[in-house]
Amino acid sequence: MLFNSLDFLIFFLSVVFIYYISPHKSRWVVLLISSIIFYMAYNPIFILLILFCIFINWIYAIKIYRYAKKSKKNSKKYLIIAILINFSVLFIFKYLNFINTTIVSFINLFGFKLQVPNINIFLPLGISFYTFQGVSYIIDVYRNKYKPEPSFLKFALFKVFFPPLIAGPIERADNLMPQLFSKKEFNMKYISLGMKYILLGFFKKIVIADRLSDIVTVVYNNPKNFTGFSLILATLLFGVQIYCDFSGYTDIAIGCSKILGINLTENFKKPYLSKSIKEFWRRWHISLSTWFRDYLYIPLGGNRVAKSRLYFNIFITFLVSGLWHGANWTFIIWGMLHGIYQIIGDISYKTRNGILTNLKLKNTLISNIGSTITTFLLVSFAWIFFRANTISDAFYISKHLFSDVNMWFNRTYIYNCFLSMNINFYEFRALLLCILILFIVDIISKDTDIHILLNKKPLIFRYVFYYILLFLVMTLGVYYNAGKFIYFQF
Amino acid sequence: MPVNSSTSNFKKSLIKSNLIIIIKLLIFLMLFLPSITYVGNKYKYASSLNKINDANQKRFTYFYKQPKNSIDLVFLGSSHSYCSFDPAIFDYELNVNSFQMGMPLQHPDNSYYTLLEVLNYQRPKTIVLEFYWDLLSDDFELKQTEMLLKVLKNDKLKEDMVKNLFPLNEKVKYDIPVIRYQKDYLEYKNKEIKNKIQEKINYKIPPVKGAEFITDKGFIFSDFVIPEESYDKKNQFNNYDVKGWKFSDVQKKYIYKIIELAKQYDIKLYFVTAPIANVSLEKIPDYEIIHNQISDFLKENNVKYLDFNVPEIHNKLFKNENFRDDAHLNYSGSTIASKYLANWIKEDKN
Repeated sequence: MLFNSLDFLIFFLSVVFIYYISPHKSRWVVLLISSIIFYMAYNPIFILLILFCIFINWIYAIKIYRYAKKSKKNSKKYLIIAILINFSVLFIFKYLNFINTTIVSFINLFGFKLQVPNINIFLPLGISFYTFQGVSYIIDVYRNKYKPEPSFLKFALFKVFFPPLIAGPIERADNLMPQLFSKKEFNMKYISLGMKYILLGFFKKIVIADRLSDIVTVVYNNPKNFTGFSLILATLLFGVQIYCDFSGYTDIAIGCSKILGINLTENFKKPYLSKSIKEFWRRWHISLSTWFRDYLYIPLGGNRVAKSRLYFNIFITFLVSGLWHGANWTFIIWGMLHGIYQIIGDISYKTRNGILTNLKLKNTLISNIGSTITTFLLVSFAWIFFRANTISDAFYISKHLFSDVNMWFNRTYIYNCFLSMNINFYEFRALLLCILILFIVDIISKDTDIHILLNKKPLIFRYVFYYILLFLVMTLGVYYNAGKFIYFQF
Repeated sequence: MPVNSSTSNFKKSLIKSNLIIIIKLLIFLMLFLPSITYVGNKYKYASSLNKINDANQKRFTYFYKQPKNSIDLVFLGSSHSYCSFDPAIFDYELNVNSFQMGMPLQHPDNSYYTLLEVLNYQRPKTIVLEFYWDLLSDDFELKQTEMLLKVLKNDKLKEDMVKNLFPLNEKVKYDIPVIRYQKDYLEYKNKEIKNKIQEKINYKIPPVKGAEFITDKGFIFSDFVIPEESYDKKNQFNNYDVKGWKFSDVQKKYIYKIIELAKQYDIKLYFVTAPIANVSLEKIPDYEIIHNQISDFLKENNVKYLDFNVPEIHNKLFKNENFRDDAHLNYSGSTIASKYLANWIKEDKN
């Protein structure tokens, strides 16, 4: 049941209706049942797995809390067992085949001819998200941040609440839990705000991301058929696609939750306007970045350590972040690249700063634009590894980005490149216009929320803005063979 | 009671603000709907100008011109049918009057409705239904269904098609012109822009070696030869996932319906899979898995089936030069396939 499907629309409208006509006390039950139905719509059998994970986290959180005062040692023991169980489930379903093939390929390098069959395991939807949510919960209970939830069913709702279930934001208990059970009135303000989030989400997803998807897929599925211009264009467009796809999902999840009177964590803050990689990670997939900060980077020592150790901590954090995204070397290299970017950024900070000061360019518009573009290009280069189907494809693309640079001003050549990518010129022109609109919206609302910003403006501004969005969604949205959300695979 | 009165005041103001927002939303939608209706009509108009389905339209025009009950043999199926089986050869070999009713991407569900339309005008004694396995795994294919809806004369049949074939999701989209005709509009505008760019940059379209046209019996003549880049680099069967192939239950249901319909009208029914290029078949070493699934299903239903991709037949009959691309025969290939199939039918009837 994709957000961009009629099935979901019918499902969601029914949930909202039943939710608001139910008495306050039983509304959480409506949410629990509907969330289970939502998850089972994808693959019913995996509900057993998620229930198992919920049970483990629930029971161990209680144990950890009980022993916290009596015996810290026992409490820690239960914490470790719970973490191991959570990650074992993730390991079996997500990484077993990867480790298996990696080890076998490594052994075969020495002349052996081992053949270990791949185990056919389906990846349960949202497993990386709900595993991380569960782990953060038990660690927070261990750290005495909050008391464990005594009711299994209420805890289950925290874990399966459907809008962020499949692709986040990864919610922490202190934000989500109280909201799930608090009293809420039927308030059109929330509903209208939620609808606005959903509309912007759809604009990003079905107007921009799904249209870009076709172009990017053609090139990335057969990169050897294309030359530098096409490879660069597809790579830059993928950067836009993944942003619109993922932040579009988040907007829809936030919007749906708002309609139900629940505020989710912000997950994106206009990441492509960042002036450094460090800032990019404060603005991109915030709930995951903060998870890694709180539960990996800081426990490793954070930044209050010697430089060499700091760089090690950064590198490990990004390497694991890459691995979190997928069981493939492409993701690992993508993570490592971001780690390396940050380390180089830190090492070169003083030199770069000095040069800018000497040139009297520090904090000027030119230097800001320069930093933003450089950051975007670095991030885009790393996306090659994220998007490529295989590691050899990724290296091929990286190597051939400028293979035809001497032809870039030949109009016939560029026209042929567009033809070979199956680009519909009218569609492409409309796409560029939509990307421009989104870019302007992002600039205007860089450090705030566009909907809140518009609420302070006269009614006509809001009408025009949402009119344009709805118009573009209706007239240019991809409604046939619409794509799944990219982050569903994680 | 101050607490009660403040609660009731809060509720009153909430109701008031809710009403205001609902009114604002309604005004917004009232302003929005006319513009979307206007664009829908614009898209619809562009769709009527599109000539993508030109050959298909001609096929049906020729078909409707045939004298009533004059056709003995009808071919149904996808582009593989109208590229592989030339009615002229069957007319000569079997001494019949045959007609090709294949359509791009025709799935069995659409073959069923095409057959119903055929039966409104003709009483064929034999039907050859071509199966392209890749299409058998779809539950529904809108593009093809729309193509058929555009050329059918029978309104009742069209209504039945929309009612029975379209999943709810698709039905809703189909009823909204701005969504339904969007692709046609984009395609139409794309052509306009392409022409302008070509003019501006003085673009010379590379000359095409060969010819292609539709015969008055619905067959597509083509003497193109598979380009070398389709041997490997651009071959559509690169990394073809045989294990991921699944025989759709929806399509199975319509195959049963075709079998029943054939029985009801006393029509001899043959199923056939047309050949794909040798270079393509080499890319699907596990093709047997697909063949066996289709073959077993048809055996259960006592229908004769000929698969040109089985190595014993394919290797004996075809070379890469007999194909116009990686999956379709050219005229030289279609002559071979048509003669072989005509003899196979002749033998079966004898």
